[in-house]
Parts: sequence; C-alpha cells; structure tokens
Amino acid sequence: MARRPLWSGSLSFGLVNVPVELHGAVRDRQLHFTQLHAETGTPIEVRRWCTKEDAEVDWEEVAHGYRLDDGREVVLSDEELEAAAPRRTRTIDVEQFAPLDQLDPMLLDRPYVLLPAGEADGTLRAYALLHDVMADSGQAAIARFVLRSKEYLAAIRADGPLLALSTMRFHDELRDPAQAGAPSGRASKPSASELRAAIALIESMAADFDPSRWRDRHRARLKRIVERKAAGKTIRPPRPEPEEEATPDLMEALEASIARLEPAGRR
Amino acid sequence: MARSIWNGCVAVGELRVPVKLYGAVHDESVHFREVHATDGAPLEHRRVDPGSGELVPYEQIARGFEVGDGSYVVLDDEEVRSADGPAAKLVDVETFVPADQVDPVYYEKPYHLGPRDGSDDGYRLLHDALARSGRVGIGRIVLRTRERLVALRPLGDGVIGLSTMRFADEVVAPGAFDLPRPSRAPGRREREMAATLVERLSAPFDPAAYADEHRAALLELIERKAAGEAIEPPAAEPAEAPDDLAAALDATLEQLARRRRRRRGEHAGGGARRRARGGHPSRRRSRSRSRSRSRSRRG
Repeated sequence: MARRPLWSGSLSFGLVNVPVELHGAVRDRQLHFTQLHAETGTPIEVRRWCTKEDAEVDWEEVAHGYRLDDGREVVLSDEELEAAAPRRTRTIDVEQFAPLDQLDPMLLDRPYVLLPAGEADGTLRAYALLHDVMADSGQAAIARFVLRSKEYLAAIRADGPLLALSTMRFHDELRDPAQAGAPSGRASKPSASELRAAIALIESMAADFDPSRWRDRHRARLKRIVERKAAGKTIRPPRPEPEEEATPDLMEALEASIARLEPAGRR
Repeated sequence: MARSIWNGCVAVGELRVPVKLYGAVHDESVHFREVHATDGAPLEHRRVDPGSGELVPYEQIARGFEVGDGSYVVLDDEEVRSADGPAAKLVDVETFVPADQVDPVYYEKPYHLGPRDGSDDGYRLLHDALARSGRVGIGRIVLRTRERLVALRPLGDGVIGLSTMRFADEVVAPGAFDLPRPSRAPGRREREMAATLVERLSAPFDPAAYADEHRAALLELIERKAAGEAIEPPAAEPAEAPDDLAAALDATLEQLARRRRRRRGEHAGGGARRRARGGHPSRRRSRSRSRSRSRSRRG
C-alpha cells in the first residue's frame, strides 16, 4: 500500500547516504469530539483576539512571546524563530551505533518506520544492507534529524524486514526514579518464603504477550454511548465503587490468590 | 519532594499494595505564548459561531461526535462520564508476560510507582518478584477518567515503573508497508565493510552525551533578542545526492582509520565518544561548539 511519507531525505552514516521516507508507526484511534454551539448545532471556530485591542487578530499578526526569569517578555516573529531552526533538514545523521539492549525504553518516545525512498536498486540494496547489518549485530543507530523544524534525537533498529525509528526523549527530560521513594533497607526485604509465594503467584497468572488480546475499553464504551444516543436511547451513569484497602497480611493474600487462580489454570 | 499525580493500589490476585504514581518524564521544550505582533499583547482564544460571527460563551458549548457529513450526535457531560472506567483506584494487573516479548513500540508514557502509607513491604515484594521472574505485569488503570492499558516493570534502584501502553490496533503492523527488495542482495564485501563500519561507529550508549541542541539554540536566540540584537533568518541548504555504495563505505572506513591514526598521534585515549560521532568533520566541530555553549549557559 502506497502511503504518503511524513518526511523524506536520506539516512546518513559516515559517507553513506540511504534515501529514505519516514512513516508513522502509530495512529490515533481515539474518538474526537467537536465543539458545537448548543443553540444552533454549528461547529464553532476558535479565533484569536488581542487582549489589549479587544479585536480579532489575523494569523499573520501572531508572534511568539517568551517570559524571561526577570519578568521581561521577549517577542519573536516566525522569521526570527527560523534563525534557531536546524539547518540540515534533509538528513537523518547517525552519530553512533550502540547495543540495542542499552536503550532504555523510557527514552523512546514516538515510533515511526523508515522505508527506502524510490525503487532505485542502489537505494534498496543500501537499505537492505544497513538493515541486515543492524539485525545481525544487535546494534541500534543513534541519530539526529529534523521534523517540522524541530530537531529530534532518534533510535533506529531493525524490526522484522523494516528499519524502525523512534524519536527519543532527552536525558534531562527523565525524572530521577528516587522521587518514588522506593524502599531499599533491610527492613523491607522480603523473606525467602514471601518471595517464593509472590513468584508463584506471578507464574500462576503468566501468559505470552498478545497485544491483540487487549481492547481499548474506554474507546469501545464511548462508541457504544454515541451509538445508543444516536438511536435515541438513554445513557446510564456508572455505578460508584468502594475504595480498595491495603492487604493486612502479605503471605495470606498471596496464598489466597494462588489458591483462587490455580483451578482456573492459565488464562 | 515530588508530587504524586494519582494514589491507589496495585492489585494482583488478592494482594493490594498501596502506591503513588509520579510522572517519569517532563517536557523541557521551550514554550512560547501567542502575542500580537503589533503591540505585544497576549492573545486569547475565543469561540465563534462562524454562521453568525457571534462569540459563544463556554456554557453554550456542546460536545458533538460526527456521524456522517455534517451531522453530529450531541453528548452532555453526564453522558460522556458514563464511558469512564471503573471508579476504583486500582492498577488491576491481569497477567504477567515475559519482559522481552513486549516490543517497545507498545510503551507510551512512562511513570514511576512509589509506596504509600507504609506499603514498603508489599511494594518491595512486588518489585523483587517482578525482577526475579523476568516478567512484566499487564493491567489497567483509570487516569483522569480514561481507562488505559499499562505495563508494570522493575526499573533499577528498586523502583517499579509503570508505562501506559498502546493498543494493537493503534500500532501499524510492519506488514502493512510495501518493502520493495533489491534485484540482488548486498554482496559479501559490502556486508563485511558495513559490519566493520557499524562496529567502528559503535560505542556504549550514554544518554547524557546528547543534549537538545534545538532547545539550546532557541534559548540562545531569546537571549540575543532580549539583548537587542538583530536576528537574521538562515540561508537555504543544498540538497544531497546518494553515492555509490561500496565506494562510500570504503571512503568512510578510510576516513575513520585516518582520523584514528591522527588522533593516536595527537593525544592518547579519551576519543571513544568523539570517534563514535563520526560524520562530517566540519559539522562535528560546530556541534561540539554548540554543546559547550549550552553547558556554559546552564552552569
């Protein structure tokens, strides 16, 4: 199926350039509502108003304000912002390769797919070559590229027959896990029997990961509500539920869980 | 102290472990607000009925879902609320799957879980059992009324990570893309050279070595403008053409070897990261310059 790429250019490592196209690997399946004017049922438009003149402002008169720490505001036009825009907008520059298992999934942001651009045999061979070498060596490429005038860090890896690209978060955008206040001392260390029981519970609830097993129930509920409403039916509000409380005795809860799950077998 | 965004319990079978949820990432991009170019006054978004040109107050906004051309099913707040997930504050773990079976494409937004109300023992037990079993817990959570799929996995430092997950139908299967194959597979010599090149450019991954240069450039631009400097727009860049594959691989390997010989001659050691950068020498220089600039500003 031919799709329109989000971006095209070349993947470049060293002096090797592979012409590629970037395609989204995820799609938005959420239901989106439109804001309507309740009286007339007309979809409303959002327009910009100047708070000083109390008048509508055209798109061409929109500038970008940034408040400095000292309270002053710096105003930049689109043209001025372009001065900070990255120059090399047509290449994905590989800066290094790294073992795939060193990439913390926490750093991965939005997934895309790279496809060879065009059907030139040289392009297809270069693409296959890079793919195969990365698949064989278990290496991912760390690269920078520019999408919609913003520069991204990206990780590229072999995924099936394709090269998958994921934009990455920057290191300083991750919070320190210490914020969670996880216990570490001897006092909280589980006993051998507790650990055994907890692992047994995990194993009794074990299954292979099958993504298609999991449906978006929120989306399904919303769809159902829209359908019922369209058919003129009434919509019932959800029932309130009781608050959950902590397990007083860990061992007891583990044993009860295993006992309850065992006869049902693996789900 | 970090503020939690949700308090509840992890539920595994009969086990209930009280937890707090914390965001694991924060957006560091430079955000601007819209202002009027002529007088610098902030702009407001107002809702207008395009038919009459009238402003529509918030109370008169209804939520419509489009069903066919221009016709909408209107839902009120109460009705939308009936799609909310279960009200119980639970991370309801339904199954445990081998960690290596979960393709990272399914992970969406990461969070940290922390213990709550003296749940240290249960929290630690869950963490250690997950780490030992090599499994990831898959379950559901309701965040801001929307029910989501989540994965629980042990991170380093004894912390349990929670990540919201994408659903299978939100992920485009690799098979959905047409991948034309070359008329002949890459040759042995090409493979060997490419493998050597990847190996030479490979280095341990250090996320801290990569700064957001676009963010740094924006902040620098803001400073220059604040200091009253004139800002010039950039010149256009030239396009690039693909090269002969074997020749390009050869030339790159040669370039890397030359650089390594030179570096060995200049100063011993400490070049792994710079060597790994590879690429065009001129660009490398400008990049390290901008990196040291952004460091100096922060320091």
